[in-house]
Amino acid sequence: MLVLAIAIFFVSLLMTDPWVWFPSGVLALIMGREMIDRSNLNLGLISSLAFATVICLMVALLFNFYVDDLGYRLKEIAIAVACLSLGLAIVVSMISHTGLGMNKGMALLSTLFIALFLVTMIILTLLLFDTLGGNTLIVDNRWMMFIITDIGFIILGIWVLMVAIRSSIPLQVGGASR
Amino acid sequence: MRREIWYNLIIWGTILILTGVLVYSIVALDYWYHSSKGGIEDTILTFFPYMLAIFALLVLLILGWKGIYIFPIPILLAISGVLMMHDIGIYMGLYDVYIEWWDKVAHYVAAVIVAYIGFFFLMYLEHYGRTIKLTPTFIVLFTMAFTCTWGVGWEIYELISDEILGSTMQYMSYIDTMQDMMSDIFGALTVSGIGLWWLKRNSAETFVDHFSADKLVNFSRKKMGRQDKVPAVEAEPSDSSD
Repeated sequence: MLVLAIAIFFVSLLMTDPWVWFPSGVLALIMGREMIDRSNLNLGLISSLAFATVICLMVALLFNFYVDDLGYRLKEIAIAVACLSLGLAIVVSMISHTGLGMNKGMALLSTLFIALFLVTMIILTLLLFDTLGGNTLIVDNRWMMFIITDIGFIILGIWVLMVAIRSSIPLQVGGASR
Repeated sequence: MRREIWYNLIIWGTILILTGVLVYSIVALDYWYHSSKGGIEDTILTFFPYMLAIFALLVLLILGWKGIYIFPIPILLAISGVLMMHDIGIYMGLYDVYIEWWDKVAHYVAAVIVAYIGFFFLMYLEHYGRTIKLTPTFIVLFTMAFTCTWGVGWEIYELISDEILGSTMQYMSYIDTMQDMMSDIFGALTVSGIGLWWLKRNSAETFVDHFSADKLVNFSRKKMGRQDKVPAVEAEPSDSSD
């Protein structure tokens, strides 16, 4: 269920129709509920963040924000936040369910790499669509600018997370230690 | 002792070959980036791949000399191999004549090395870290993510080089970039698969028995101002009869 929800969520991010995103948002919510039931509230918060990001993407599309550069930047912020929150959800759920144990530094590092990996996968999928389907989702080398923006926002997000953890906002990572 | 000799021999041999390739390409093939010997950008682009490779090899050499860490010989051979592939590809014009597989194989081998470095890092973390307990699934996931991130980093470096110095590392095509990233993913998948297979049968302790990093860990801890050392020295039991 969880894997299916994540898969549909990501595929839907590649679509341009908000009606495809809407069910994916619902799925993200279900995913959040699943996690709340099985572990703790923090996972629910993270999933809610992913859900909120999808809503933001939908609103941005409905109001035609993507026609200018600012809109494109906003979309990159949304994708960066979605990947970061999903990366964190993966790490925290692995800590909760698989007996993984790590300190905060390692948890943040893992989140960073997984988020960047997810961004890479999105870009690679877009490129694949262009190559196989003859689409023009990616124009020349502009995607490189997108990925650099994404990486920048993800690093910024990691910094925010570091501050959040230091300020003792309840974000439990490093549950199982030996 | 024999391992140290091989270690030094491989590094010095690689330096010698790389220097020979550079000299041969400039003297015999009249190699110069963009074929114009005037601009500072072209001079940088001409010598940069060589300098980068020599720097990497010198770091490995110093680590070995100081006894901080000696890379396993197969990994060292792979590193030397990919440095030679990259430099020979540039200086002998193998990238430019569109031997497509040359670029892809270089990416694949480089990805394998980066993935191994990520895998080693996690194995050492699992063994030496006090609060770290990793699972095989996480190790595989992290290795994949780590390698692909480095792959993207390299592509960004290519873009910056193309934009600032006017090189043509991306061949003005995002298809080439995509294929490079696919090669990186295959490299990451190879190591992840082997790593998963190995982890099902062994543990981090077995790994560290083969590839100890005690000196590297002690060196890092000393730099961080920590006093504890590995392996932990067992306290002598005090003789209460005295």
